[in-house]
Amino acid sequence: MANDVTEYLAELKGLLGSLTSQEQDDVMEFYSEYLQDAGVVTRSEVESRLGTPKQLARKVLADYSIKDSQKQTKESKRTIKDQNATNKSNVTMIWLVILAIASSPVTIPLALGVLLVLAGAILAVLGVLFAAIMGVLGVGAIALFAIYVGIMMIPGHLIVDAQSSNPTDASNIFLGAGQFTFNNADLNNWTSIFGMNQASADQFIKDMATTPLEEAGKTYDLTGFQLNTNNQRFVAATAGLKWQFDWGSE
Amino acid sequence: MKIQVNSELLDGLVLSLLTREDYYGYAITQEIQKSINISDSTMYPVLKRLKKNDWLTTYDHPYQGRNRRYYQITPAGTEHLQELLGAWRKYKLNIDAIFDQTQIPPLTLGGAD
Repeated sequence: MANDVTEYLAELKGLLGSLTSQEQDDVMEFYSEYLQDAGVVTRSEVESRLGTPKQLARKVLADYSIKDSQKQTKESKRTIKDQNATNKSNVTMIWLVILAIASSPVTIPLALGVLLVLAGAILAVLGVLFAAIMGVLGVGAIALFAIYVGIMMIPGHLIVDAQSSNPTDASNIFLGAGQFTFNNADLNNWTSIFGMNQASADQFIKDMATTPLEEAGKTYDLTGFQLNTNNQRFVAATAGLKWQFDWGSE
Repeated sequence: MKIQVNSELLDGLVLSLLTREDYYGYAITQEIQKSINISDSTMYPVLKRLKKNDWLTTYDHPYQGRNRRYYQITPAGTEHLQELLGAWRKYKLNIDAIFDQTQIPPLTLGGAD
């Protein structure tokens, strides 16, 4: 390795004193390999790529200081745990007081009274909790049923999927890939070609108008376009997005 | 004007590159620099972060009497890349939704219907 490079790396290592020797070696190996692959030999070539050893060290250490701040967050979480431990010791203290009362012969009837009151209070709390849970479950079941009924009443629904780039459904009409320009007149034509009823047609046009992709006059590069009038499914896809409209539930 | 590339995008670009083949450190920087303007000192922290998250592994391969460290994407890395790709495509569409309505007459080619 060129002398200049060796010198540069030695200076860099001297500035990484706050890292473990393992981490230092890792940095050294990376940049020694890097500079050899880059084919640089003189000091000025090295510095024009990586900056001075001080600048490079600052960049390497900046990344480690992010880690340090994450450690601090963990430490503050630990403090919350400590507080929980303190709360537990408070509970222990209450039990010790109850035991102290119970162990004294003079106060046994009093202790029994206290214990019974406590038991009553616990039962009352459990009762209220049970009632609340049953109430929530009941409302939840009604809500789920309402949502189900609501979905069944929707004439059709549009699914926009940003992950897919290709429609995979089998189809009996395939129009293939191509460029496409949307406008409202087209959409009206489509709904009649698709054989949609009025509710689905209205929904389809409304859904298409509210997706980020539908823009009047904009030309899209479609990677796939499929129409299945048997399954009543319409699929169109661009490189980054898929629309799917099902109107089979009508 | 320069558009800043954040660390998650850099993660995505490097992981995407590694789906083609395994690269060594200098070659990764070279490839990324073909598309975006990053400094030579950018890549080390990126590769270290990707390795720490087990999104890539490394192995050494002898080259002209020394070692080159190659970087290889892991299954977890592929999964993470897919998340990043999805997020990026959504982001790109949202940005384009505004840019594409710039008041310059759009070029309209023939429809497929």
